[in-house]
Amino acid sequence: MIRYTAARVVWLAVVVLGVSVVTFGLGVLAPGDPAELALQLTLELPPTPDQIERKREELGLDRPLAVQYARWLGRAARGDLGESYVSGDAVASLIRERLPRTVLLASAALALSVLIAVPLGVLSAYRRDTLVDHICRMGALVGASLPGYLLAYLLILFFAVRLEVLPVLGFDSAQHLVLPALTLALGSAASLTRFARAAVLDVLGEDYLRTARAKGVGTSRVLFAHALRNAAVPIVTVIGLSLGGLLGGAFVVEWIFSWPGLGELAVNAINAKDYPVIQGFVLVTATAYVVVNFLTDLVYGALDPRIRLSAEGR
Amino acid sequence: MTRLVSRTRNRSRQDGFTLIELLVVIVILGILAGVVVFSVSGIDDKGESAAEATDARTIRTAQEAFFAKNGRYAGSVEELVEGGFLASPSDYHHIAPTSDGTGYSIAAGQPVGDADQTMTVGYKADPWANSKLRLSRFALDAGTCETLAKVRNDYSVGERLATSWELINPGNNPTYKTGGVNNPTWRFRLRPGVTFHDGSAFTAQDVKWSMDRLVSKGDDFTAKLGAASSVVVDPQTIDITPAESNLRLPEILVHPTYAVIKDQTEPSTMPATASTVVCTGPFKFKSYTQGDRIVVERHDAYWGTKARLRELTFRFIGDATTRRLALEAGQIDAMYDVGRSQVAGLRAKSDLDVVTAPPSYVFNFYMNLAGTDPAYDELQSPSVRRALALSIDRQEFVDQNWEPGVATVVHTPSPPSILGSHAPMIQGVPFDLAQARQVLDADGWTCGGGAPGANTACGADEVRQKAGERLSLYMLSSTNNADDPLLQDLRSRALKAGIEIEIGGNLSSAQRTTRKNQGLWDLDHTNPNQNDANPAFLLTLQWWSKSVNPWVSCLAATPPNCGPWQQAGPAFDALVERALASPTFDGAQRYSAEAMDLLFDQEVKIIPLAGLSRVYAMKKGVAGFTPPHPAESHLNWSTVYRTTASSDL
Repeated sequence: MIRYTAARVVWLAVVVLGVSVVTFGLGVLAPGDPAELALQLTLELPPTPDQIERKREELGLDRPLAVQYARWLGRAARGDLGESYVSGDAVASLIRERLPRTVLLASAALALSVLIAVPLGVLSAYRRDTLVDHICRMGALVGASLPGYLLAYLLILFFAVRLEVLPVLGFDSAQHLVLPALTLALGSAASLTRFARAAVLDVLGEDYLRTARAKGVGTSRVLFAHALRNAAVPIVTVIGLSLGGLLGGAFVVEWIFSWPGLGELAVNAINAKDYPVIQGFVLVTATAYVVVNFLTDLVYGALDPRIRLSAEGR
Repeated sequence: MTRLVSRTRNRSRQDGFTLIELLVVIVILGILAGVVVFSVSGIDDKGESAAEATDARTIRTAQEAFFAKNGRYAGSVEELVEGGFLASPSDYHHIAPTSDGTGYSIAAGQPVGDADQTMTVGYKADPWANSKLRLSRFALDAGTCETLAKVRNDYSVGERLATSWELINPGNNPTYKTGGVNNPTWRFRLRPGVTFHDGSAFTAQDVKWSMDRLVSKGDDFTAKLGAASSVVVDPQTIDITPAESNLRLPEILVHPTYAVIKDQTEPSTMPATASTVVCTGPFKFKSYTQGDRIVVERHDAYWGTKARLRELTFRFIGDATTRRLALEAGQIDAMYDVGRSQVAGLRAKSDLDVVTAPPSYVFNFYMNLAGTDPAYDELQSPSVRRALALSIDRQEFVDQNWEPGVATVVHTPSPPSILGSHAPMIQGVPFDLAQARQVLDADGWTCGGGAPGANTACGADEVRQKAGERLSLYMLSSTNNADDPLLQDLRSRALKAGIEIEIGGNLSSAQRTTRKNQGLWDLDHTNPNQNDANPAFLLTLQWWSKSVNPWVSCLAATPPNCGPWQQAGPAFDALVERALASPTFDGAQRYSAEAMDLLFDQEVKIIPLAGLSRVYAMKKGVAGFTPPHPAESHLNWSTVYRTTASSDL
């Protein structure tokens, strides 16, 4: 297990370095002069060439690209992601302030998603080709097809406007978390349900399950202790991918519900062409994605000894 | 017998009542009390009705007196109080003027729990999320900070922190001269007894600090102040001498940019606190959470009419649909910026009011009048410009794209009310498709290769040509969306006259700016707001040769990133300069109107397409808001209150 983990850590570092190169490249490839953009965002009048030149020196944009990257990487490693062109605030502090809210939302959405999708997937697989199965599959199809923003508006209309049982926006209490988390969860649960169903179907025909049933093991235990356990690897994969996606992709939901998380920060930064913030956001969410996948790999190893052993060369 | 008499005598000496007698008396007293109570409550009701009727009559009388002095009716009860026409605000009524200011109605509305009302308003995305915290300028002023003068609903200028001002010409500040003569100085006399939110006294030093700070940060772009412009004469008097001669200073200083903050404070400091945001307004800063809300509370020591609301919260809700749903769900009491597509739906709701302000910004076609690139020089031809204007049925354009009352046909690039009685001078270019075709044809832009003047009929969607060149105009799209329905509508109208409009969508902000500054465009469209009371404001920014905008001059930039693309010419400049130099406001309005008449009627160097109104929606029972100021940044929330209870989530 130690060798397996160490190998994964090395790979993690390589991937994160690659992400940093791409993130830095974003700023280089972005249209417009960053110095001019930074001045445009803070001055009333168009900046003069002298002002632009001074700003370029201030931002270190007159140095070679490799030097700029090295400086940027060094600062990023120390937690300094630069300053917002617009507000002048440290990007790291902006992200630090909002990251917990996005993590809270994503975690709640993931938990809901798993609670909805896994039982439905197992049930759908067990009741294959029955009415229950068709309903679950149709529901998953609709959930996967429905755009997130539309789902958000429908939930607001029903629960907040018609029934008046939940608030439309805010983040002060658990009540405020329900609708945005549900919106994210339903979208993600749709695909997770189908994965769970497929994974469980794969193992339902296995001999050891037939043996277990023959030995008198109850249906629930067969499904959840045996079938689900063996179908867990692909399900865990999708859950891991979902979390990464939720962390980085809650843009629309955060915008609609005015949830002041990373997604909302990113939308504002994109609208304002605030590249340091955009870069910081991309770096943090990409790193989060990579770390989640790393943790998912570790969970694989714990779930399925065959994966761990083959990675260790046994 | 004696014993009988003795017993009788004894009995008569026992003063008191029997139980029955007491009960009878109590019942009679109860009946009497009931009669009195009902009578008194009836008297109270009648008294209250009489008080309300008297209150309404008093307001009407005050309005007539206001009209006799000012030539218009007051927009609110508070305006009557400030002008000395009423002793105190009304507890029963508020004034709802008509949007053209010619009339008014007195609407009933009694505050609920007057001293303790709160309200939540849904604003757009946080205006300070993408800029330094500037609580005293632009967009959401939140009623915290005040300027020396104020702009009323009709764009006239009134007293606020300054009670009077006079022009000293030539001025008394030798630092700034024009042609060897001191620039005019404006002397402002400040209102006594005003305190900041922290209780400190408001003095001229605070004004100096506020103006000097703007200059040092480069945030003054219309008043033309210099580092030495503001001079304290005494604690209640300050002289301001613009670095460039400016007789429109009072009208310009109504802009929220020029709000007065306390000496040595810096509202841009984050996190914002009550000690960094110190102003004099009817509301004081309470808290600000970036991206979420700003909360202000009533300033109980305010010098003017106290705000009705104890606390006012502005929630930042970037998504327009969410904003609307939050209003319908009752989570907010009012909302800003009802979108075009939302107006009809909200008007249909019986529990909501939709309120439209007078036109505050104009959707205009700007033109490149001096393009040096051959691909962008078509609009140098007066015929092409006039034909384009003739080809657009602006009334139909407005009717088909906006709900009634939200947009109107105007002939001025600024809201017409800024020109006062001179607005009718500008007649506009009427829609006449046949004439548009004739004008183009006579100018050599023909269809099917016909000779000039032959007036050969054009096929549907056929683009005119001249010497092999298509009459195609490139339009910058500020929405970065070539599919914008408004732009597509305009495109189809111009095509009927044989003019093709190519919409340059999907440009980044930087690309758009570059093209604009380098003159690589024919048409542009923007909707600038009129946030101050200077009739020549927009003219000086967009067409005056001394504008610092790089698409008008190279005064603040260098070629190729600047050019005279929108300069309107010397005759226009002369009129604008007369407007700026006019010692009277009426003169400024008149010359500005003449400049606009030249710009549109005579030379068609701009096409005002629609005068747009800000639209707000609120729950029924929200009073004191109708109709609001044309400009969003001058909304007065201190007059707003509730006439029915509503709950906050």
